[in-house]
Amino acid sequence: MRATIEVEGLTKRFVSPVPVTAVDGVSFTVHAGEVFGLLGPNGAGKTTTMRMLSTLIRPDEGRATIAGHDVATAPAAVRRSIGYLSASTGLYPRLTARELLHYFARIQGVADPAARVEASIARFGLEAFADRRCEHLSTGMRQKVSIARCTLHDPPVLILDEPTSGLDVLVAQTLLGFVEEARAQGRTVVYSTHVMSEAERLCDRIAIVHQGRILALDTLDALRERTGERYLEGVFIALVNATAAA
Amino acid sequence: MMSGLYPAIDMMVGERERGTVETTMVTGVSRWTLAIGRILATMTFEGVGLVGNLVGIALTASSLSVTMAGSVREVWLPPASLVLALPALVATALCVTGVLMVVLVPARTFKEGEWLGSIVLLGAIGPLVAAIPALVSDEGPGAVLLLPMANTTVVLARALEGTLTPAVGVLPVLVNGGIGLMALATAGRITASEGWLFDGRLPAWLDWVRRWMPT
Repeated sequence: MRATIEVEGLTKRFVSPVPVTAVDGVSFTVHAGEVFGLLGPNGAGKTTTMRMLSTLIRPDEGRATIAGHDVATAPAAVRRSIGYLSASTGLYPRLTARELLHYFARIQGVADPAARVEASIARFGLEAFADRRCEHLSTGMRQKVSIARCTLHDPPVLILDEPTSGLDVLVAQTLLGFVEEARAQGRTVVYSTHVMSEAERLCDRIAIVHQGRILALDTLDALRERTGERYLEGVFIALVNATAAA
Repeated sequence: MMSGLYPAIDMMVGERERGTVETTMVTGVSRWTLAIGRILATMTFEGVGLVGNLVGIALTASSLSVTMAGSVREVWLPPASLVLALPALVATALCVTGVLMVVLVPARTFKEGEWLGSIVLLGAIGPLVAAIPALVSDEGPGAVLLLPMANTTVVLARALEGTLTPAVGVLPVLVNGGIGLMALATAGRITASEGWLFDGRLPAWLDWVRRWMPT
């Protein structure tokens, strides 16, 4: 069976202010109904990888396809297939949640946007604050609106970049539940985080990313077996130390 | 110019500060569509401001005797003059939009945008002063028509007097429109770059400008 996401030798270099290879020859595949975790510290290259997958930036080398579409040569088709959520909610502060969803539904070309928006409001429990301006919403409410925004067009692939960053436990739980629901529906999820417990709970396979490279990629059990560590935190530290020593 | 300043700051800096650039682009809106949207929105504010000013001055002055160079001149706004002045006003809106967008490129925050925008406003005083001799003289405006803002002032003054001719009106269209297009091409090239859009990375000379901006 062909993977929904195929990434091969993906590389991205930045030249300013100092030359740096942010992502260095990253390769992986993700299948439908799988939650794939990118786990690493800040600056490891997770966000750059996700931005390349979501066509926001172009890779310097390598290739990636999503639902059969190449991110470099068919970015529009890729964008129709993905829902992208970043830690910064990216909402227009003076629009209400409902207005914002209408706006994004229209530019996404969703058929019957009004009905879709109302369904989305009901699905994510936004009724109580749907007519409140985004600038007056709490961080958790904003993130819920963001999730609704990125799933308006019912994408088969979700790219979630540290989505629980800055959220309280209750809202974070709602979001984690949403990811589990997405997996159950057969969606493909790429989930980046530096919170080990989230990766342990959600991810079917985990790529440990450090300094732009994938140090290890496997199921949590296989990673435990390989490093002899019980907790993911220990797995991560063991892999980083082993790389530094090599 | 003030009418376009804040929309320009919001579109150049506010979109990045809010993170809405990212969420908009991932929906499939191209970078150039976004750039053209920014330009048209800023130009609309500029254009409405210019026409509003013109009409406001005409209404005020029509009830007053305006003295220029010691002689009393009739001031009004004949429709034909407005039609003749309109292309120059559109070109001026394009020019101001382009200059504002180029100047706002290094801004990382709304405050930095205001600071850089105020430099443009102050810089406009020079051409406005340079236009004064042409306004008070009965001779042709001459080389002043090659100076943006100064040429717009001359066109507006002639339009209010009802003496604007196509010959005077066309040069500001070419000069201001040309400068505007060049400035917009420069701003578009930089603002469509990945560095500017996502991490604020800029060419070295623009990064140097940032060092000296109040934060």
